Amino acid sequence: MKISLKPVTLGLDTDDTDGRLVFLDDRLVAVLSRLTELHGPMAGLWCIEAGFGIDHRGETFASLDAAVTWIEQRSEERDHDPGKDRSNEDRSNEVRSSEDKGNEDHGNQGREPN
Amino acid sequence: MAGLDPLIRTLEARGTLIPLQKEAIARLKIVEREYRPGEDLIKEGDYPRSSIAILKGTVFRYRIVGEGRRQITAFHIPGDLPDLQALFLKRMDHSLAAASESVIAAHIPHDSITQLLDTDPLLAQLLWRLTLIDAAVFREWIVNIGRRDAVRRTAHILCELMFRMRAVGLAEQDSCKLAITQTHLSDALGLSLVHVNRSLKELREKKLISLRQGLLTIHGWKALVEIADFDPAYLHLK
Repeated sequence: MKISLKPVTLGLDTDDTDGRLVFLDDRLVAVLSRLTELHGPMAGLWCIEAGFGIDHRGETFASLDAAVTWIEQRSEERDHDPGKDRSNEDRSNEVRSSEDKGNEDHGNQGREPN
Repeated sequence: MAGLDPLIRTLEARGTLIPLQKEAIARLKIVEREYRPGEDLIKEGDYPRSSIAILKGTVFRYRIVGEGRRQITAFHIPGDLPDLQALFLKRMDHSLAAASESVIAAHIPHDSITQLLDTDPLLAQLLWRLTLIDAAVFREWIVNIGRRDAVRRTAHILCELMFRMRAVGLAEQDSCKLAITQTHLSDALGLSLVHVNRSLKELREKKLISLRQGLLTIHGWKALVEIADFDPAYLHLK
């Protein structure tokens, strides 16, 4: 897995517009922002604004490196999470047991890619 | 002010008390205790044998979920009885802690409360009403956290706290002491600290509020209420 960063300007109403898109191989996994003076003692930290497939809660990091390391760890945990496959299995059982064909189609479309 | 006066004010903000009832409440045997900021008053799993009436400071209800994440489910101010439900439910299913200032709480033995309820059905009804209002507040919090964006959510909780403080005489005009930090707001609103900062900044920039050294002032009630989609009906104040 290769991680790469792409600088972007975030469309936030505040000054926290210095952002990075974080890619894992060719998948976008997170969006980071650099916090400005508005955040007092947290100014200068990097904050996870959005995560895709990563359980986050707006964590902050002293450096981009620290943020990237955390994101990598979270992604690895997710890839090794035995519950992940089981939840997909459960959901497909639900769809199969449904008598409503329309629901089944909808369920298949809505299923997350592995 | 002495003893259980804050509780009497809270009851009077939600119903009617006759002088005899006030005297009966004032005569209740209580044990006062002070708690440091952050200290637990009661822990999840406890079986309290007394109920707490907050006399000074702010208390919050919370639960900790996996990985140590805290969700605050309510704030309580002087006069509130945050663990009255334990009179009947026995085991605490969440914890109560002092917010960012020390808290003084009166412990009222369950026996004394039960005795009072047995002899005064109208007071029993009023206490029942208090726990129903608590439930109404929980419902509004679910709506707030589930369906309002960060700025509206933050504005809503500030409106609620100011209304409740006012109702028990703890606000002067449009200012009240808010002994909670942004971390408390973050844990109560299900927002990151960063999002709480941004929301408060937006409300400050619109000149709707100021929040300095624990003092919340609302400068633009009408606009704040509008942003928050706030209707105080769920507080069931008189």
